[in-house]
Formats: sequence, C-alpha cells, structure tokens
Amino acid sequence: MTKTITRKLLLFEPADILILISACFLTVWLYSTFWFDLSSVGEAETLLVQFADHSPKAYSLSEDQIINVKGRLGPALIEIKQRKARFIHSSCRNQFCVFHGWLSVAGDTTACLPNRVSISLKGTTNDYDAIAGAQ
Amino acid sequence: MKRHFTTTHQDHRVALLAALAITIHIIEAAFPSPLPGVKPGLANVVTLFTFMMYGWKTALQVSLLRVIISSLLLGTFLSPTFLLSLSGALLSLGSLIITQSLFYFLPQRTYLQPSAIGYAIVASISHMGGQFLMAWYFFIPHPGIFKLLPILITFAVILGIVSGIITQLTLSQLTKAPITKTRSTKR
Amino acid sequence: MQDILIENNKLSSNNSSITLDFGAFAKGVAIEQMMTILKKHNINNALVNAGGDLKVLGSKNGKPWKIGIKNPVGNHNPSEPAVIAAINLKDKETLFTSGDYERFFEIEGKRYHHILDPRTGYPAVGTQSVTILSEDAALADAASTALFIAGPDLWPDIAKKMGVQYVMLISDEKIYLTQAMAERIELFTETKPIIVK
Repeated sequence: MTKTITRKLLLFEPADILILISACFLTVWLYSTFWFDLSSVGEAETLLVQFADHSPKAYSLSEDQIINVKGRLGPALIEIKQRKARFIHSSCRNQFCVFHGWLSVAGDTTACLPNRVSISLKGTTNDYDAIAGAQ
Repeated sequence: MKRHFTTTHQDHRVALLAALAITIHIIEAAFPSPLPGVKPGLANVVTLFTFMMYGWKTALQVSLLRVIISSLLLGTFLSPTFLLSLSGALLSLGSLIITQSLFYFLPQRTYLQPSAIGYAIVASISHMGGQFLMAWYFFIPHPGIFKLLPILITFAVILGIVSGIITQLTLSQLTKAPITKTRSTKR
Repeated sequence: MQDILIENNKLSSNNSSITLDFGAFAKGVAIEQMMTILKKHNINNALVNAGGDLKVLGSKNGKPWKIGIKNPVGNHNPSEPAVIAAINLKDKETLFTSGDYERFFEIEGKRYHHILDPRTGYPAVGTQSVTILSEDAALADAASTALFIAGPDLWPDIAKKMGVQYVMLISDEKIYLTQAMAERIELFTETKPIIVK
C-alpha cells in the first residue's frame, strides 16, 4: 500500500507533464517579455522617478546627486553617481528597493511597492523616433 | 409560520472543509512572507482537494467561506488584502473548472487526466495571476511592477507542484479511508 | 517697411542694405512641399525631420511616431533633463518649435537670439520656447514664431486667431499648455504645467 502511494506521489501523469511544460513556457515567455525587452536596452541617459500614478520626474544621470522623494509611507532617497542610480534609503519595511542595488542600463527598473516609489533608467535617444526642438 | 432549520450532510462537509481552510489560512497569515505576494498557499490545498473530491460547487462554497471568514477574523474584510484574496481564489477555481472541462474530452483514463499536481500548478498560476492583475489595476497602476510578474509566476509554479503533491498524498490516503460516508465524485 | 515695394506679387527694394529673412515660415513651407513629393512616390509612412522641426506621415510599423521635445534649458544646464516632454504623432501631424536657445550670440554677457520682436527691433523677451502641433507645417512654423514674440501673456489670443489648438510655451521655467496639448503631451518635469483654456 505504501508502495502505491509513493509511486503516485513521484510519478507525474502525462497530463501533469503537459501542464508543467505549458507552465514553463509561460514563465519563459514572461521573462523574455518583461525582463529582456531589447528595444529599451542601451546607454542610459535619464533617471525617471515616479510616485504612485503621478507623472514621472526626470533627472539627468550626468550629474551626481541625491534626490529626496516623498512616498506614501515617508521619504525615499535616491542616489545618482557615475551614471548609475540606486535607492539609498526608503521608508518601507522590507527595504527590497535598497537591496536591489545599482541600476545602470536603460530599461532597468526597481520599485518600492509599499512606499509606491519607482525608479527606472531611460536611454533618451533610443526611446524616440526624433527629438523636436530648435537646434 | 414556523420554519425548521435543518442542516444536510453536504452542509456539514462544507463546514468541516471550510473550517480546515480557514485555520490554515490564518496560520499562514501569521508568518511573514519572504517576498511580497509569495505565500505557500496551503489553504488552496483544501480548495483543490474539495474540487477533486466533491466537485466545483462544494469547492466554491468552501473557498468563498474561507476568504470571507478568514478576512473577518483577521480584520481585513473588504480591504485590499481581501480583494486580492477573493480575486485569486475565484480565478484559480475558475481555471480549475476550465482545465477539467478541457480534459473532459479525453478518454477517462488515469494517465490521460491530470492528477492533483497538474491541477495545483494551474490553480497556483491563476491564483497568482489574478492577484497580480488586481494589484496592478487597483493599487499600483505602474507598468514597472510587471517586472515582478515572471518571478512571482516562477514561485507559483514551484509552490503549485508542492501543494499538488500534498493534495495528491491526502487524496490517496483518504480514498482508502474516507472521513465521510459519501461516494467520491472524483472523475 | 517703407523701403519695400510690392508690385505684381513681387517684392523689391531700392535700399541695398535690406535683406528679408523668411526663416519664420520657410521651413514649414519646405516641409509641406517635401510631403507632396513623398506622396507622389506613394510613400505613406515617413518622418521628415528638418533640424528639430518635423512632420510625420502614417505610422511607424503601426505605432504612432514617438517624439521627444528638447528641454530649452537642458542645453546649458547638465542637471536638467535633455528631453522635457514626449508626444506621439499621428498621420500628417507636424511639430514646430521656436526657441531662444538655437541661434544666438552674446555681447557682454547678454544673449541676443534670432527671433526679433517687430515692436522693439530687439530679440523677443520673456519666452524660452514655443512648440506647436498642427497638420499644416507652414502654419505651425509661423505660429511658433508669432507666439514666441507674443510671450506668456498674449499668446492665447494669437493662438486662437491663428487657429492653432496644440501649444506648449515655456517661459521663466513655467510651462503653459493649451487644454488640447495637455491631453496629448507627457511631461518629464517637476513644474506643474499651467493649462490655458
């Protein structure tokens, strides 16, 4: 009796394997869609800082600075240094945003969900089909 | 007019399973989660077990009772947590029904039908997906959180396999020594 | 103006020091003519960029053309973002900008740019840049210059008279938008725009 249970436990039915393979395909597709979006990769130019659904504020990566943002729970400090950006302080419990470390490539994003502050890097020139303005 | 309040055998079964699910749900809520949104989801084992043992109607009752009563006990009724929990529970049950009807057209042989493991993977992914879409739509309408989705779904698949194995084990044990004297409706 | 003679639709002058600069709308007319050439060759999707002033035809693989708008102060101040706003352009739409940061010279620290105010004869003051979205490049070009000279107080009237709906005017770090423009543009700045009806 123990034998049959163990067999049932470890042996996936063919239908289970089918479901598992589909699940793996879905996961791979999600990674390729949301993590390796090649169109946004490139030299980063600007840091976009967004609070909740407000319009994002842009900062140039060429100047080292520390940005203070008011989040839902309290302030968040974002540092720009040598064309990279990171959270150095956040008023959230888990501090995942701080542990995420430096963002350096265009398209990189990290978000502090409890504090509702997110930062992402943009490559200005790559994003646009043209830049308008007198020159 | 005097009305008699009588309970059926089915009511007892729902009450028993819901009580079990609520207990697991509340114990789980007490533990901090390693990643926001990632929980073992052992309460879903009860839903899945009910679904496979007694069909979707019973599973729906157990699942709704679990979500509503747990949230009342935890003080999260009608809060964001409650909405996330509800949408996850409903979507995962819905996907179980869909999966079952898809496999309904295949011959009813054991190896052609998914076991609890297959169902658990489907339930886990759709539970996570439902919560995620709800969270994105209502609470964090920011495209950046889609970066979290692949990680969350990876965890969902792994946790789905684990809870599927637990459910399969429970089913194997119980079909040999049923707690309640009812015919198993497992197909 | 008294030195200029208009005869049989021709301009002439006896004063040899007079030169006329049609820069205020020549580029717009040129872009419109380019569009006619493109259409003659059955080209339905194109972006014509004449040094920052542009017009689009059709779409970019089914998606609207995404245009970044240069920050007028970004040129001098590296801490400011290089792009102040983004906007998606649909078929036949054109974007024209007049700014004081393009052609200018400095004498004794004072900056003289190329857009002159006919009321004073000096470079127009009070405006950093005007961006116009329209379907008519010549109109957009002329309007961007006219509204630049009009400045932050008078531009809404002139815009109405010229029939331009989509305007962004930047003046002293304030951003003015028409209602129609506010609905289309995506700003990347801390300053809240002033929406003019």
